[in-house]
Amino acid sequence: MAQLGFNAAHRRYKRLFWPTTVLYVAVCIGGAFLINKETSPLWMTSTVAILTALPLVLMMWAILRHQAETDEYTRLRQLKAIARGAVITISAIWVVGSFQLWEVIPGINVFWFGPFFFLAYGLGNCWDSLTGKTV
Amino acid sequence: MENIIRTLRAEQGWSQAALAERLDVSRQSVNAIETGKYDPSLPLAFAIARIFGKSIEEVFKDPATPEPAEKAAE
Repeated sequence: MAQLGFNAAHRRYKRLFWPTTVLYVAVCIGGAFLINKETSPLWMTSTVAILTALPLVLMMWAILRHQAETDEYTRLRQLKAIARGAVITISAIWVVGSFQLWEVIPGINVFWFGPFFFLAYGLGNCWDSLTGKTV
Repeated sequence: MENIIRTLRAEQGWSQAALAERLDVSRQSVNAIETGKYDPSLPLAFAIARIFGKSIEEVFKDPATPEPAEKAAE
């Protein structure tokens, strides 16, 4: 992934971001109508599960590509946000995982750590603005 | 690192967004460089100097390096 500059990188990011977002919403809504957890065949639920995960994986790749192609300052900010999001999410996995290991709490679907990462990543992005620091 | 980008930009009548567009960086990048919160890489510093038709030394100043007048006094 070569560096393109801020404008070209941002355009490429948006070109992938919006279709994947629309696909994700469409699959979620479609899946909710199509799938009955008790009667639907395994191949159908598996297909919907893969189609639900695919746009999210594409979105993660788009974030990675954007940070590689954008300008140096935006890259620095993005990498810091990704690092903060990853640290918060992995810490949450350790804490929740330990509680589960010792059977303090019941099992939580691993899926929820995905949205949690995006939330932590968003907070990581806002962190410098909230604390008044730029770099 | 100190710089005179804000002054040079004002002389040209450019907004931060206009300078960012010319440098192909984000407006936040220009703001961070102008306010001294971020030191640009050498290629970006060269690009900034080139846009204003100046040398890097004219645009950026290392606070640790003494001014020519100070040097002469030494």
